[in-house]
Amino acid sequence: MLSLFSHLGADLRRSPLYAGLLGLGLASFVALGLRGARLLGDDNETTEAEQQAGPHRAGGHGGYVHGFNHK
Amino acid sequence: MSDAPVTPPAAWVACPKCQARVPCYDPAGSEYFGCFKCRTYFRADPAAPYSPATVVSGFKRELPPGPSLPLGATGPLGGYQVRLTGYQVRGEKNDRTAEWREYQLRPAIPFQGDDPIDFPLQLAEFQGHWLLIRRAPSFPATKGSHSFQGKEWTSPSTGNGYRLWHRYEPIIRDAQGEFDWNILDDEHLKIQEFTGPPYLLSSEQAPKSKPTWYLSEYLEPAQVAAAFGLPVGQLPSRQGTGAAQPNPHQTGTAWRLFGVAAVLLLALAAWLAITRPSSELTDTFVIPAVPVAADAPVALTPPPAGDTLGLAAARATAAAAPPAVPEPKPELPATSPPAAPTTAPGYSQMLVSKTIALTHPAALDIRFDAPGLSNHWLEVTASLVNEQTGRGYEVTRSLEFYEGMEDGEHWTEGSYSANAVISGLPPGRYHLNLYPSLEAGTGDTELRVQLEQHTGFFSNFALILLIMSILPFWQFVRHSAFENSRWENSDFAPSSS
Repeated sequence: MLSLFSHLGADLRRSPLYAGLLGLGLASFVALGLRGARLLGDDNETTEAEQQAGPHRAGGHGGYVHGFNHK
Repeated sequence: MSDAPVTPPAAWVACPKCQARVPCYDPAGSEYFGCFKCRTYFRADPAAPYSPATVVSGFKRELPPGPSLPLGATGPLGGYQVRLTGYQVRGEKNDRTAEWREYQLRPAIPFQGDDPIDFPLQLAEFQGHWLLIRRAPSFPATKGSHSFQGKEWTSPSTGNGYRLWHRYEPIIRDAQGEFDWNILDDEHLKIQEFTGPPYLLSSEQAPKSKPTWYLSEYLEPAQVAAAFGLPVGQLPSRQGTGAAQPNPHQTGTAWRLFGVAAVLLLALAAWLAITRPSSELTDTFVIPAVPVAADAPVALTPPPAGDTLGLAAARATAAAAPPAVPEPKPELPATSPPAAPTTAPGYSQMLVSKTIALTHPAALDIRFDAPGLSNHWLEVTASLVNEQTGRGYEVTRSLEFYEGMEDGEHWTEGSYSANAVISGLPPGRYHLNLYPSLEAGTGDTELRVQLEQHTGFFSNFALILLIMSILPFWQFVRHSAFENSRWENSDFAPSSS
């Protein structure tokens, strides 16, 4: 264990930039988790203005479905 | 490069062919000489200048570029103050193109008593890559005159691993200066080299003799230039990758840091999962059948004017009342167009889910399942409504599932489930207003809606882990490319062995 820590100390001195980037990644993960946010975005179709005004009644497709295969 | 010795020699010998005077720095040890002028290789006794020298052989011409280090120069190498006394160009019997240069090193200040155990030292240069060669302190054990047949060996004293790099028989193509052995005898040697950067372990074995082992250490050109006080630009420039050249793209540091960060990431993910536990809410609805005759687009039953968020229905649901006709709520803004008339009762209507409470900011995974769907489609527009603020978040999903028999085989297409994720939701109470549209001709269809909060952490985890692994992976690629370039010069590359 001591040898691992001594290795890590040397590694941090050797690659401070990468160590900083890893720290930034961990901090981002916590921030995203606390905000309930997803890096990949989400499926919300409502714009900010629409959110303020309330949602559509029937969505953006008007009740129609396109592109399915009537095999 | 330099035809003249740098410092005055201790003695001189005369070339038996051209009578040129060849300097001798080690009269007690040197026995064989290469003439700078006529390329004659001869034997002489520097201690007896009047005894005749004898021609041993002759080289055709000086091979360019000649010695890049001046013979006679002194400098610190390998822990000793050494002098360059001999220079030879070597090649391989079975490879006309391979050619490298070796310099014999003698102590600049004679030792008291015997030479150190790692002497003699030599310096070898191949395509700008330098090796300092000395006697090996440890090497593979062999019986009698047997040669080592293994392809790998690990030194028990240092733990360094070595892998077979090359096997060859040398030939001498040129020589200048003085030598304490007949270098032409080396043409009978069989040589094996094992690489373990920054070292190269080599065995030289004469017929019916025990092998002699040498350990070479890779030197940067700047180290060689500094040792002899030369500008580094005067040395041959490096080409390709040296057999013992250390790989500059070390992966250990990046992988170790990445490993620690991955463990921390896992711990943080566990902490988030514990402090923000996932919870689910499931609601099931039955969408009434749509008559076959109704092939026109299905219109939705709108909520009453002034209740675009379906709050009245939500409250009604919360009060265990069926989500029938919601009460208008004048306190909420009326932003929708006037209500359209209902086309046919039962075609479609707004459905309102139970309420889910978010205690922290969260992502919500909405899953739609219509397990009874077969050879039909269903589209669901869902509005997630914050009951405190009135903010809405809308998603639309299409579910279609087709199946049949063709050529005696059952086929299916599509899926009767779909999901959508809404992230970054502030804490509060939410419900879904659902606007299903069902294909004409479909019977009563069950729609199951599942809401799961605090989802999305795994994708964040995976994505951040992936981003953090880019550098070590890139280092690994460069490390591998360097090793591939090294082994291109070997007949014993790991992949071909």
